[in-house]
Amino acid sequence: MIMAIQFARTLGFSSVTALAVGALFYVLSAEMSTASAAYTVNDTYLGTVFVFVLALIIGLAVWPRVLEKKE
Amino acid sequence: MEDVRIKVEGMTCQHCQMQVHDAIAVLDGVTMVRVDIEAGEATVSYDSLKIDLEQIKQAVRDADYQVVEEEETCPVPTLDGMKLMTEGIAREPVTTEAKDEAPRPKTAQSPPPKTELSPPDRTENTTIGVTGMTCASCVQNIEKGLGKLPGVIKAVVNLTTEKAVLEYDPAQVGPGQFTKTITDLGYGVVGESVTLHITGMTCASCVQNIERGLGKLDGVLKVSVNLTTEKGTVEYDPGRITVHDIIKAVTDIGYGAEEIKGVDADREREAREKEILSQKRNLILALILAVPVSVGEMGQNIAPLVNAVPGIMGFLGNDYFQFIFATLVMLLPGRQFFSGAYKGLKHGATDMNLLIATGTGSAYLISTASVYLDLGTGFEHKYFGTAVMLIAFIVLGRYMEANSRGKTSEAIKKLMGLQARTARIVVDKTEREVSIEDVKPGDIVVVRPGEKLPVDGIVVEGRSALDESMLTGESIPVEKNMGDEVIGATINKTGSFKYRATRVGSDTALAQIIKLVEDAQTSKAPIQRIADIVAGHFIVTVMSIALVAFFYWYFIGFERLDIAANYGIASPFLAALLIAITVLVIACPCAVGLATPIAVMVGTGKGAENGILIKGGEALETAQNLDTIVFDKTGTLTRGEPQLTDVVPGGGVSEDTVLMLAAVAEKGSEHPLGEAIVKGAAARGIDIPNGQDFNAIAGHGVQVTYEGSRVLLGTRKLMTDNGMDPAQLNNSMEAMENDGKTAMLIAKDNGIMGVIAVADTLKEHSAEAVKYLQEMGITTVMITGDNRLTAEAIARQVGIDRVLAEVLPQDKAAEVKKLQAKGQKVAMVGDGINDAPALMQADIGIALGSGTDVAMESAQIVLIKDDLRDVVSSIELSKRTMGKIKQGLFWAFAYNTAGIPIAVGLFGPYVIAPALAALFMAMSSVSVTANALLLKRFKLKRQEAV
Repeated sequence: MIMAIQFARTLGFSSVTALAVGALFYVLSAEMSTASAAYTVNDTYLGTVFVFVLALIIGLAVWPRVLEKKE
Repeated sequence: MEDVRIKVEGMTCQHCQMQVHDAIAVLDGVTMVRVDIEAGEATVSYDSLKIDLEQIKQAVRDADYQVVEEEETCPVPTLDGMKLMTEGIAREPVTTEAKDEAPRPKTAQSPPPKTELSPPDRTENTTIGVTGMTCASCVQNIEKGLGKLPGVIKAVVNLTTEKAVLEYDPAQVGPGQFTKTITDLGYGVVGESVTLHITGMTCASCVQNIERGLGKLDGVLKVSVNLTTEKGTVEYDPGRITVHDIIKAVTDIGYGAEEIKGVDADREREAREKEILSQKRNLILALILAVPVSVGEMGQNIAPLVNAVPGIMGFLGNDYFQFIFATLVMLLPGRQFFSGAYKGLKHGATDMNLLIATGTGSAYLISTASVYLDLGTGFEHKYFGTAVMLIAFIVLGRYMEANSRGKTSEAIKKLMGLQARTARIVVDKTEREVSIEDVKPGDIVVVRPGEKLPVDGIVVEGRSALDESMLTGESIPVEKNMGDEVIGATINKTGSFKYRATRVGSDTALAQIIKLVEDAQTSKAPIQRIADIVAGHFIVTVMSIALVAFFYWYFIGFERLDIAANYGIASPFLAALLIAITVLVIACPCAVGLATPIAVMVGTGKGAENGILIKGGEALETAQNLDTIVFDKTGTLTRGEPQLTDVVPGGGVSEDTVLMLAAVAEKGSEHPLGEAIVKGAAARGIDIPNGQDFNAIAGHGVQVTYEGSRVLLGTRKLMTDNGMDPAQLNNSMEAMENDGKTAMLIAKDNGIMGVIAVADTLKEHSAEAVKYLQEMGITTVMITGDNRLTAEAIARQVGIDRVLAEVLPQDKAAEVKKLQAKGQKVAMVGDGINDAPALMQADIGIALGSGTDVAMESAQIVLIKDDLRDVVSSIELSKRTMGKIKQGLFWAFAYNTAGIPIAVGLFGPYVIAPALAALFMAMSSVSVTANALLLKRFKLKRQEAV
């Protein structure tokens, strides 16, 4: 039970972090696609998903240690 | 006043000796205690009006030692009878006079529980090992703390034994609360230990994940996981957590775990073979599926290939074919990475699986999406080939690594393979073949030529020569006669003989050696801990680098280097993704995690094969830095028993006559010097007749009547007191004495016949070992209780640099400490109980296998043979092993240091393809492992000499 709560907390923090990084990528990419034809909507979407996943994984690895230290 | 000798079982070291001694000495009414660890007994004088025998025995039992039954307890008639064990420093008992004013035991009964209304239905007792106590107030703190717990009836803490004994009501309180209270008070709790076989670990991050995961559990005190041996040792508080909980926690993190009980060669081998077979199957499958996909993907870009076999290439290059085959690769050989990454992530654990899963998963998913969805310009090219070749190369690496790991534990396998499966024992006067597990101590075992000895024991009938090379590395068979000790797993070479089993099962010397080597291989060298920590943080760092690289190549690099025109990748997403995948794959720190444990395993295994038991990575690491080696003299540099060295006749008689007269005088003597003379005479084939009227003259010699003549053997004073002048032999005598020998004059009927000398002689290889050490730049020191003249004589013979003479046994540790205070890294080599404190004080304690158990327990390195050249071999082995560790770590870090900048595109994009990065990564682990395995070919100096 305690482990499940800890995981949920970590997942929450990680998701927020990943959403923030993903949103940053999305905004920048959308900006690029208006300036350059090489950047398509698919690039933006796929890139956002990739960045979100990578950031989520990093978050899942880093947040438990951060929370542990805080406690 | 009563005197009694109590047989005590369970004492294994000097600490035990002290514990038993103190447990008895503190009892009111006990006036004298003497504890002899080797004899396994305590001799006690006590006032029977104040205390009875049963109370004394109970005190021993309370200290956690066993007392043998009443009928085996030997009453001691008089105090004179207790003049035991005073000969020889190796048998020093702990003795003190218990005085009335002696400090009372640092134990006390806790106050009765305040909340109890009625006595409990049932009470239980438990003993908890406590660490960190330094004084009586610590005892008070813990007793008070425990006493306050509801349900605690009695809490007694003993500072000396470092134990808390509790009587409690299990309905109200349990061991978990006791340990929590003790740890909350700031003290440590000594837990139990379990060794687990852990499967599914792939890199140093896995080690970190498990150690961190288990470390978080309530009740786990210490965790050490070894990637190479696939073993984890967990020290835990049984009151708070069970082995089942620990195993469950490991499986929850995503790894397999099972408890290892005892030595089980078959199970070890099965597990190893299962892993190799599984990776082999994965590899074959990956290659069968990945090669067509890869050929199909690459073939589209090679026009001649398409033209040559257009039908086949068209089929292989078909998107749906590629998708189906790639999916099979992902689901079958690739599944291990995805399931491992998922299980780990659930617990915030990152490992190599995560990197592989992210890299291959991204390539697979984007390719699948472009097969079924119209993603537009730039997404025509599929990357199924990249994803499957990544999996294939990494599985190849894992297969090769599993094979290499199997080779590193060959030393243990060899040792385990030495065990005999059956034994022939005598039952009702007939020989019966039984399983080795059925042999009990006391059984008479029959061994025929060529057979392996099943257990340890003592020869009771017959004689033979045994090949002990498997344990000692010594190739020459060793003669065994009645009364000699024999070791299980050695091979009987010549005659049949019978022996009484003394140690069976896990108590045999072989089982203990295996345990020791296994423990050593599971332990970590300090350098490995650093490598593990670095590797543990490495994964997150690499993922972050991949993310940053993705951002850079997506937003900046793609346009700046015109990737679409120069590299034919029209999509900025795909261009950046390929870079990120390459980073993820190339930077796996498996080689970093493997470098140290594999070298430690090979090093300790190599030592074990040659009769050098190194108790862990720390000892291995420390031994390379030694600059001073202190040798105990008696029993270490010398044989420890006097031998006849010189016979100088005077007065026109022959050497044999002089020796015969001396032997007559000493025949039947139990004095070591007398025994040496008699043995010396017997060795020269001299018949030794009996003398009469033997008379020992204390401090001077002996007198005996032989064929009516008076024969005197002894000092100058003995001769002058009897009216003789020894001047004619004075020069010879002085020369002998200057060489550290004990010279004795022999006289018959008032005429001096000659002088003979006995001395403790050097062991065969002592001088050679000292010479080797000096060549290595190591200072050699001899420490002894002997007078300076004798000590220096021995030192001259052996070529030792420095002598510490007239050092009392209890001061040896202080002398070692003095050397350390000068900044020297000191090893102490010894064999006796009296050497134990110095062995522990030294940076490295080296005990001889022929020495006492106490010495061997106190040392970090045990030399099974009595060959001091193994001290040299130990240091050589340490240096070589550390060399391999450093090389391994250098190359592992070099791969990553060079690989990451290349992968992120510091030298331009796509210098290295993702699949090639996977191959490099796999090869880095394999090359580091292979380099460490080269240590197996290293020959020790002694082997070279042979």
